[in-house]
Amino acid sequence: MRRVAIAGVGITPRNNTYLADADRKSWKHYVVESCYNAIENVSKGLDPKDIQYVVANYHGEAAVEAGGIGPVISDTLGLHPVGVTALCANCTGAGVGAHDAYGLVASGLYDRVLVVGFDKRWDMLRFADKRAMGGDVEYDYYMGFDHIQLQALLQEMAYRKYGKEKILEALVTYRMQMYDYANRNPNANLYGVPCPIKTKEELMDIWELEPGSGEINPDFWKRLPGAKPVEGASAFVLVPGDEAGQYTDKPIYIDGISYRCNSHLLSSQMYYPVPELVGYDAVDFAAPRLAVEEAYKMAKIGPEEVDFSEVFESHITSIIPTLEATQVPPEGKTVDFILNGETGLDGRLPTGTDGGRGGFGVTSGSNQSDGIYEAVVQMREEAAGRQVPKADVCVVVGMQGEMASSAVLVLRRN
Amino acid sequence: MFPEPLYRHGVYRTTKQWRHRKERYRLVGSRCKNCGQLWWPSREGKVCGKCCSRNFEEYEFSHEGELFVNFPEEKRYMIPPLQGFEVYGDTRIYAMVKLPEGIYIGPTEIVDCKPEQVKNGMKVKMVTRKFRRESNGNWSYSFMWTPVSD
Repeated sequence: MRRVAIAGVGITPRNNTYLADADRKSWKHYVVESCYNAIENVSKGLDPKDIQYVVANYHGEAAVEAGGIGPVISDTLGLHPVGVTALCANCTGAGVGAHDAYGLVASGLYDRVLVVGFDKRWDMLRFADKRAMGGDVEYDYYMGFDHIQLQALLQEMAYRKYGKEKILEALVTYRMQMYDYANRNPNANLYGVPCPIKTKEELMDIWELEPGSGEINPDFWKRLPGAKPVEGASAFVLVPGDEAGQYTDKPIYIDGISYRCNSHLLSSQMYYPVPELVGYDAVDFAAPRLAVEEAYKMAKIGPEEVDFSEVFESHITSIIPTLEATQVPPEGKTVDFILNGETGLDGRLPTGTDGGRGGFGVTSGSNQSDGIYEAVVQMREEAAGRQVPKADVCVVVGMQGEMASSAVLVLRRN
Repeated sequence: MFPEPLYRHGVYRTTKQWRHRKERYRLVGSRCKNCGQLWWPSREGKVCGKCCSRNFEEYEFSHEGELFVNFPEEKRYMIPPLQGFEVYGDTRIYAMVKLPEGIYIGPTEIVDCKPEQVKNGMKVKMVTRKFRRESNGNWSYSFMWTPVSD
């Protein structure tokens, strides 16, 4: 197996100026812009015609008004007859794309593979029905359950596990941090948007409807800084590690990579009877823990070597398990880790530095490639006002749909 | 005639409703004849996730269980319902139920009681209720759960 490197990255901005043109653009525009942005980002030059294969991810079937889109993407990019693998793995799909593309390059089958994740959400007649394409749809969507409702069930379970007030405080803390990072990233959806609250006490003082009742005040939700659903694409070019210097002076190496699955039906996650999964329930989110373990092993590192992370953290039920999976927060202390500011720029593990999925913008099909883009920018020390102090090793942790699967990458600068 | 909107691309065909009839009406899942593992939903014609056997028999799960977790829709904010579920507004109570066999059923719904009566850990029993229209306009029915009265 050859070492594999990222030679170029590309992205479509998610700021409001860019998205003002969203109605004039289809998913194909986003794919082209991000992919050619990535190709042009290969600093020593790369002819698009030298791309040998493409791996693409989008949110899921029925999310884009086309099926079997591999040939469409190949044509759209002007790359015929290059083959395209089209994946539908929701928010971790671009990480799965990285995983598969990694294998293509590491094995020696190809030398230049393009990976793209994208999402075009506003062309759908009804967004709720698209959003629901993220579970075991034969049972949850079929019975009228939406992604958000399933997340609400998970959140109830998280309250029970960690304590409601603590969970809400962690959520407020992370959302405020999200605004802070996003305001340092001109591409972020929340760039230039001030956080609607100045202190977390503004919400934590009112979170309970009646003191001691445990009932959440509806005003808490109304005033909680929100995660922003947007659309767009991001892409990167993979090349053999030992040839990376021919493409760029700043290659970023993929030293560990893994993809692990659990059931996509929440109730099955509660008891899935195989040794690797049986100890976890739905709110534990087993997949990233298993994937991180494998990726660290492959990279021959431990959590102490990780400098920062990009994880899927648009909602509290994913912030905690994906952060915990990195093994950097002490076991069982992830909520305290967040409350203590350890995911901030000067914390132990800066996380979501582009604004995170909430502040940069939740873009299902490209969520993980957005995280990879940010990791590369940080490791090249091109992140300006949001540059992390040390960026030698990054772990990128994805999450699919209802906590079903996770792709993980360990990136290293040298 | 029907209250749902015209666009119905998200509605399954009647054949699918028929295929799942035992699960929806009687909570029938599968028991692996090789290792004994119970599965819900049914794995008939599929593979046991524990031992990879394809040898199953039907297993009708208990119709009573314990409410493991719930979330009343109205508690937080109104989420636009999926197509076909508009008629329920924000009155649904989402839940996961634990059965005596150690199997969980969820997502599912609690019905026939007010949200404030719903408590995690309470005993619930399976009931059959209408839940959406089929593509031909007929109502389809499915299991839901209601509190067991003392």
